Amino acid sequence: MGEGVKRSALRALPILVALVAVVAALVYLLNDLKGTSSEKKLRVVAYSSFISSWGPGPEIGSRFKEKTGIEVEFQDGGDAGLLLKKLELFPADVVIGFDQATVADAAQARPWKKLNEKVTADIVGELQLRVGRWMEEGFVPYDWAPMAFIYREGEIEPPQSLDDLLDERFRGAIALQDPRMSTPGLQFLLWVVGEYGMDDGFKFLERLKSNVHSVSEGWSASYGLFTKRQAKMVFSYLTSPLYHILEENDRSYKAAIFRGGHVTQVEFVGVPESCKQCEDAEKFVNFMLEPEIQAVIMRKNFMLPVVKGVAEGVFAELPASIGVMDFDKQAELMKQKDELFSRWQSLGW
Amino acid sequence: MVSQRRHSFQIERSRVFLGTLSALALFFPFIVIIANNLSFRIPLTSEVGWVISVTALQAALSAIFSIAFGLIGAFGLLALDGRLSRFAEGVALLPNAGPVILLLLSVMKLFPWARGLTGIIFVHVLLNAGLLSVVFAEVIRTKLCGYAELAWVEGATARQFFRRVALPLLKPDLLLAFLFVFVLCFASFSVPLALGGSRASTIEVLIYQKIRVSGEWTAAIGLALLQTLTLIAFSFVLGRMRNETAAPTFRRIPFLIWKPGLIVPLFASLILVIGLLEGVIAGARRAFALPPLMAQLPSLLAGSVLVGFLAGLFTVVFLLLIAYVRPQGLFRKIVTAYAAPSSVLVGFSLLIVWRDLGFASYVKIALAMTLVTVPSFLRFRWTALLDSLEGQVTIARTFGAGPGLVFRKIVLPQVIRPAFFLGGLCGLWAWGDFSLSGVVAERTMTVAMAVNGLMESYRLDIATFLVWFVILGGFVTLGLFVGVGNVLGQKPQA
Repeated sequence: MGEGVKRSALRALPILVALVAVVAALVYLLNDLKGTSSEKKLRVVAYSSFISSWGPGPEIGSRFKEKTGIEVEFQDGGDAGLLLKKLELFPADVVIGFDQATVADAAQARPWKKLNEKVTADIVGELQLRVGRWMEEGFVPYDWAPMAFIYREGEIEPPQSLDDLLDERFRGAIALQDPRMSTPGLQFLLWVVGEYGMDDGFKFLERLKSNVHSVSEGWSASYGLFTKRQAKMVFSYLTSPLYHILEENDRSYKAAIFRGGHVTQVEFVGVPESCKQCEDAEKFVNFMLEPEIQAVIMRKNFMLPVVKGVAEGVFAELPASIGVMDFDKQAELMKQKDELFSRWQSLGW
Repeated sequence: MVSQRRHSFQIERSRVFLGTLSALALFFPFIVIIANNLSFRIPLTSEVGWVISVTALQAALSAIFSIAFGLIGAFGLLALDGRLSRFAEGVALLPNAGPVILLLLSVMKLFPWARGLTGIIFVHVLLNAGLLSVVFAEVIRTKLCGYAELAWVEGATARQFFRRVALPLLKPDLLLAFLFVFVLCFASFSVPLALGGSRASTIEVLIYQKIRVSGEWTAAIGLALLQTLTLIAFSFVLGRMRNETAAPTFRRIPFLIWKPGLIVPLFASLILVIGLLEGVIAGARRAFALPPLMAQLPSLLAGSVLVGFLAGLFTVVFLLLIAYVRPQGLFRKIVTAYAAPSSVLVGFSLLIVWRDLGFASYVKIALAMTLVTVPSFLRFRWTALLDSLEGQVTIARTFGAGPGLVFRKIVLPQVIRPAFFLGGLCGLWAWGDFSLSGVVAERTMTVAMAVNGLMESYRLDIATFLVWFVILGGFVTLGLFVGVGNVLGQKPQA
């Protein structure tokens, strides 16, 4: 009898454990979600790493609330294509995270507010010249970084130009991203085609194949291959070594500086015409350009500030002058993206 | 008599109603997208034709090799008893639990030759062979052991047994397994991209490209339809895949035990574990040095618990609904052949009909996971299991039992355990999902989503540490569902 009861109790244990676990999770989450009602909050949509607890979003939100009393609610919008579609379902006041390759699609997809002159005042001079046309459309740059090949010091002699990448010493060493899936991958393709022209650019890529270790679907996969020492070099941001310095105290990661300049990624913030808290939205965009917030973005997003005089510490150690590629040329090339992607695929890495 | 007929008619009507409901739920993503005037066009270009043929080749080869190794693994698993067997089965499922990228990183480190088509097939086999080993071991236990014992007593050789008994009896299961793996690999995304380069496109890759890079939703929806129609057509070509009746489980298994076969299900897990152990301590140290993440961890864990549990529960309910309906004819064929569209479209269709955020997002993630995984379960295990009960159901109906009674007394007791096992499997996968969750959720809500976010911001080592929570949580969920299934599936004692 006692044995039977014991056996039944043991058998019922999984149900009990499952119930306790689920009830505990429910109670915790309901408690956690209390007070997160989205009424009268500034809705800011951004990509996930920007709004993650370790990204710059939460700190910017709390500082903005301290200063203005306006509460910010961040939402994950995903990649650009998904984000624009999500905006149709979930109206937002501020959208963060277009880059120069996707901002044209955003401008075409929906109307955006032309922002107050003030926000454009202090943007790094060279950058302002290059993104001026998008600023006229209502998109304000908030961070940027040249794209570069990252290597470990002492492992290989770094390249100094795109042509150098064809050198025998890089055989099977380079981790790239697929331009059809990844913005850095797209930047690399635009860089090559912008530099050599369409036909010669693809001839260059054909010759580069033997030096390519892998073409990953996203930046994180290719960077993982690099940090796990599978690949000796990865296409990433010139600012990537700063992560290793600041977070890992490792100075062996370096960016290869190219003589002819680098392709550059600029990230934009915009306010959709359909915003509900439009004034607050504009305040928020202005706030993102304030020096102390630019410093937060710089430290947590590992990108360069767009406002003068903010870069400090290791960020100020970056090469003083690096050429920046022409965005208009990129925009022109993006009009032929179907051909670019189709030819990329036919390369057969 | 009249009231009995009316009652029976009402029950038949409820089956039709529930059948329609389950069909609507299955096709929900397409219905929502079309109903919302999201038009579609199928971009029938030479690129698409080429992608389909290359994808079909890699999927077919991946399926064939997965089945071969899955069978060998099953013979290994059959050599074990009791807890050891359950432990080995759990380990065999490990490669399915976490983000594929972690297995990929381990493979690239340990097997640098694994590139191109060979590499893709190799990783697909690593991902699926363990799962197939577990499933085949179960099928063999219930279906072959009785015959094996008889053949052994009668003096048959192992070769005779395999040629004349095992292969003919397992044929439907092998075909179903082929279809299951084929569909998974046909829609595979990360593996072809990471190992195959630009030529390794799948339709799923094209869909992703259309949505995320080009924002061409009409083409993406068209491609998703094309993918589903291709798979349905393929399933119809394979023909009727009805299964034979199941026999009780046997303990003694002549001819079917081969201990070295254990290497197969354990191999992929070993590769994964080696990869995951590297840097885990440094990852843990860095995780503790990242206070925002540590502060968020309890809510991420609670979110994963809830999503895993709900996904499992929804799956159980869905499978039992299908068991009650017992689809027949064309509906059965479609249910068996149907593959959910791209996960982006499933997630997005849920967002269209249910726009609440916050707590609702957890439910939406679980629902989306269910909608994506249930078609695979139906195709692989569920319809076959229901087929195996047809004989008993027919006899019961001949003796005048109504559909309700048949379900309660015959079907339910025999399907409740597998339903909870599959529910647990869906729960396990829900713990590891970040791509579908990323579409549905408005912020980082689960541990797996945090893992992805960390990987996207240089912190691969912290991600490696957090993956252990995903794996442990996923397996605890699976274990609990199996346990609950066992409790509910117990025969009442006299």
